[in-house]
Amino acid sequence: MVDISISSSTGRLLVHRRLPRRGTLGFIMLGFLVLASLLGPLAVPFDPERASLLEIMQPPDFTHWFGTNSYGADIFARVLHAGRLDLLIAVVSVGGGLLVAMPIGALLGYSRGWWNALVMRALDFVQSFPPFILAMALAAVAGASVLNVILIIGFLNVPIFARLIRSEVLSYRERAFVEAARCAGNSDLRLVIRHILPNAMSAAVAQASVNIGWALILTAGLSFVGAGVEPPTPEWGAMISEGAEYIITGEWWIATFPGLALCLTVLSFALVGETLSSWLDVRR
Amino acid sequence: MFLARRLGALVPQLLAVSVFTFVLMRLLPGNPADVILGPARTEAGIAALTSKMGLDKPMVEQYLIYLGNVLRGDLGTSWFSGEPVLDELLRRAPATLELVTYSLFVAITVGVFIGTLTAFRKRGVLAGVFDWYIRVAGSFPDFWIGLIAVYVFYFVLGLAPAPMGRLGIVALTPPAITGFFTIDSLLAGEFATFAEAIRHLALPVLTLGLILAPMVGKVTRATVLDVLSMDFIHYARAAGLRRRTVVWYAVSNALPPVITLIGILFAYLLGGTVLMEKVFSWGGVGQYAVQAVVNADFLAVQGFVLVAATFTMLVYLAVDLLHMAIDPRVSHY
Repeated sequence: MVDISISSSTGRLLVHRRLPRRGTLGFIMLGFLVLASLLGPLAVPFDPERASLLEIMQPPDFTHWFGTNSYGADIFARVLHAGRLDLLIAVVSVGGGLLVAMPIGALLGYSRGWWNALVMRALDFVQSFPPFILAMALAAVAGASVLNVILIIGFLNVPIFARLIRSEVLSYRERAFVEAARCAGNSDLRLVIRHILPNAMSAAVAQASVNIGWALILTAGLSFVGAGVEPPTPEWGAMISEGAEYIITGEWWIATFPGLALCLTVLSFALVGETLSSWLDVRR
Repeated sequence: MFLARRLGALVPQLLAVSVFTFVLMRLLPGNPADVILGPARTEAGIAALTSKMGLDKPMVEQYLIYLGNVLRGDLGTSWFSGEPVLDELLRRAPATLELVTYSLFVAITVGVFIGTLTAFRKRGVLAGVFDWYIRVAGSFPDFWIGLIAVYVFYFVLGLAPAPMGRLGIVALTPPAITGFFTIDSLLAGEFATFAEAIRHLALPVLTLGLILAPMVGKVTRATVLDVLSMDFIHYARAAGLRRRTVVWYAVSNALPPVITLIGILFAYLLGGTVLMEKVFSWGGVGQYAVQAVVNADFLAVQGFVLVAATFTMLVYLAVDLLHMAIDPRVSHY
């Protein structure tokens, strides 16, 4: 069988493909949300953590677009600031998980050894755990902090990526271009790093986008139960938690706006991931 | 053969769970006995717990002591409530299981339905709506949707009861037989209590079920599409069988992958209920876990993780056995 997809660099195939119509929506939303959370805090004249006792629990109006919370802080400012922190946590934890998973996945896919089955079992085991419960237990023991949330979510991402990279590497190992590179006298290490991994990474990148969305939800969930970022630090889950008790008395805006921001962000990452993986499918 | 191998795999899995929960306590900063006893600790209490946990002995021995305690059903005592952890978990388990079971049911029925529908019908408004639902619903944090549902259906419309547990304040708990209020109330003939239980279940169950349904929907759609391109379907169509019959062939052949999904769904739901129980003050093991985390009640956290993980492993086992029963090919692997 002749293999025609000889391109061995990810960059090239991303440049040459035009954006499909449906896929652009995710990128536009994501671009907008990232810009809003990066630049927004500079434009809003309110301190996200400052208590203002004269302005507590105000519904949305022209001064406070999203209203104020139980200690009078401006929710719009808090939502924007929270975006920075949440995106930071999600991107760093997923990126870190991917980095750790890369050598593990490459090794599992490329080499054959007795430890292959053992490591796979270990990954299976971690993945068979209810993920949120695992994260919550680790956060409870390690203590609620931004760093711990990043470490825990990164840890949960490792088996997902390791497995994915392994199966990708497996599928490339016997391909013609790898064979050719091997005949040209490349060492195993060089084969993996220069020829197989760059190809295997494209699937991982699409998965990373989906996982970032998942990481955002996990972070928010952890903060919601008090095991993640603690109030008054602006974080979407912690803010939803602040507003939870006021929902039954009708003060809807406190929990609604951070939740909406969270949904939109997760959604745009999911759409971007979908687009990325459909590009990759076309290539195959 | 498959059966023996599958049952054999359970033992190392459960041991791994116990190793994990054991290590979890070792991750605590400082002397575990000190931290576990909480703010009300005394010197004597610390000394007693140290000797009970064998903290002065080597790690392996400590683990064996822990394993021995677990096997005897001793998960320690919560400093916060002063009650044995296992007792409290078992007492609260039915509340959580009732929530999980109904949510699972909703997720599967809705998921199979829309998965099949979108596999057969590519065009039309309804197909478009379902297509978006499948792609989008996974992006919503269940606890936030639950809160919004409370606002809309309780505060604005007044249709749902206050999110304060499994029954209204005045309602009496039905005599415990299964622990499921919906079943127990029917068994006791208390139809008012039954209606009350359903009213309280509705919002959390629909929220969890409808957020997980797309996962089932995706799998169903993919397998139905797979099956539809198979020869026996072409043959059935060529032979002029009714459309309804062909649909039934496709759906029933798509069921095994959906059943294997139940294990993962269950694991997700168990996590989801933790959040949902906080929103609805449900009083199950999830809420117990949240309280334990907030109060730094580590034996309770440890016990919860152990029980939840063990139960999940058993569900995976049950799912595999069920899969084997309906798909004879499995046992030949």
